[in-house]
Amino acid sequence: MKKLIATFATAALLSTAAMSAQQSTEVQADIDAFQNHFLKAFPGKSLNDFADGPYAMSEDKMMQFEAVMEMPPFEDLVNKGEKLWKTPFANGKTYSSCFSGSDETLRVQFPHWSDKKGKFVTLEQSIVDCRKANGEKKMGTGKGKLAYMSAYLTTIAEGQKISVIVPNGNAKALAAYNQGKKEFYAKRGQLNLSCANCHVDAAGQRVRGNTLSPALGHITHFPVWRGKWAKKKGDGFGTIQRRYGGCNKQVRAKPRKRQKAQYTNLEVFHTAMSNGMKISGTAYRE
Amino acid sequence: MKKLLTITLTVFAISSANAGVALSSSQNWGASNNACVVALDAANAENKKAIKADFEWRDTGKLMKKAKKAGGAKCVALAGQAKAQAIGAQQQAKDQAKTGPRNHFM
Amino acid sequence: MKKTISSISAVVTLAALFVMPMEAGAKEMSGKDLAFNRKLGNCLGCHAIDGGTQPGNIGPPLVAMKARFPDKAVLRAQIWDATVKNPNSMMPPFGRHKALSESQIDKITDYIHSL
Repeated sequence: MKKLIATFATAALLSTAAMSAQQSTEVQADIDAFQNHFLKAFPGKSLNDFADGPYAMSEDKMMQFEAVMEMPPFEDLVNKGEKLWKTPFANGKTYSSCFSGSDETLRVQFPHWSDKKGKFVTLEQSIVDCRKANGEKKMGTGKGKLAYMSAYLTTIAEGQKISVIVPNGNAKALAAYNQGKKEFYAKRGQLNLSCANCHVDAAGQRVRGNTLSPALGHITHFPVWRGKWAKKKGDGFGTIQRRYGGCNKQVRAKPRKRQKAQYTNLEVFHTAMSNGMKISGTAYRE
Repeated sequence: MKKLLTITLTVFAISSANAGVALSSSQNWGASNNACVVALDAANAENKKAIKADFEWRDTGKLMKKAKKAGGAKCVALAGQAKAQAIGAQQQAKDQAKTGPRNHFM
Repeated sequence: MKKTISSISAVVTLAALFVMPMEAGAKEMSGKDLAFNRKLGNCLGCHAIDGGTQPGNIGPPLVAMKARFPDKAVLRAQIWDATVKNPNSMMPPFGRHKALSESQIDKITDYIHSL
């Protein structure tokens, strides 16, 4: 028990240290170039407008979106997520005991660099680790219960600013970030498409009837509730890494395993590009 | 990775077992399976390189599974498609090694 | 050993025979069918084509193709691998990546060139 407290205290210290760490200058330059591109490509839009994705690109779409959001189809599941999050483990402890800071800040504390683990960790992975540390069963990180809890944490984080830090002078962290950056820009799969092809080059344009969303702001509303997922499996919630798998499949690339280096580092890059944007809460997408 | 290994091993086990039986009864069968093993082996070897390069395509593994199930001449044809995909994926890994944002920004 | 080689080559011939009827099935699709099919050409994913519903708008509309591509071979090459002209092109290299067979590309080329 004593040891556990010590671990938590260290974790708290470490995460505060990470918070105050300075952003890598290289990464900051990437962020500035990325955001400037979108602000130039879509004149009249401000940074936070990009949180609305494809709906920010078309008035018709925006009206449909606003209509759905008046009676969000995902409210029950977010409530379920809150219940799950607040239900103590068999040992009496709660999820919150694994984290530092209030629940409202958890979404924007991640992903962050962990010196102890020597890698970036995501919120979803930390929830899984928390269960393990408390003797609970494993949980999938794509959808279902973990996605509900994660969605609850996104809902209560509305308005908090995204702030991913790749600590300046930390070569290992920079290498991980660069792996994620490559994952974003490299063409993959039989259809030879990169994330950037669709979500930078062609953002706002249409593939058949679907408007491609800008990569800037993607991360503000995940886990997302998608009509497509709800129709298929009756449960519309999915984490960002579930979505990566879907994108990979669409370009006919083999999806990676969730919470392994490729997707986690992609999540780091992808989230960092939206640094400074506000979490918009859980949202609906087609 | 582990899963792939199991699949590969299963492919080998099944096909060599079949080949053994078939050779004694019908030469054609044995030859088909022998060629199927050879073709799948070649496809698998190329796909391992694609996996190592971290650029595996979605359907390559599926094609190999289908090939194994089909057996005979169809196996050779499908394994050939799988091999071509794996080679394409390796080339893609080389082409994309030095990619970055420079072509994308205004 | 010789026997193995001859049986392998027999199988390769057999395989070729087997592939042909499969391609024959696909051959019944017209160039337009191939171009409109979401899992094959899916040209409408990015290009407007006269008669196609809900086209995408990432690529240019496919009109006046004879004027734009006086040499049909250039159009075929573009469909086969658009990254030769522009390495960052979003257009999938249908031929190089074998997303379509050579005969399917011939048919699609004929159809697109007629637009």
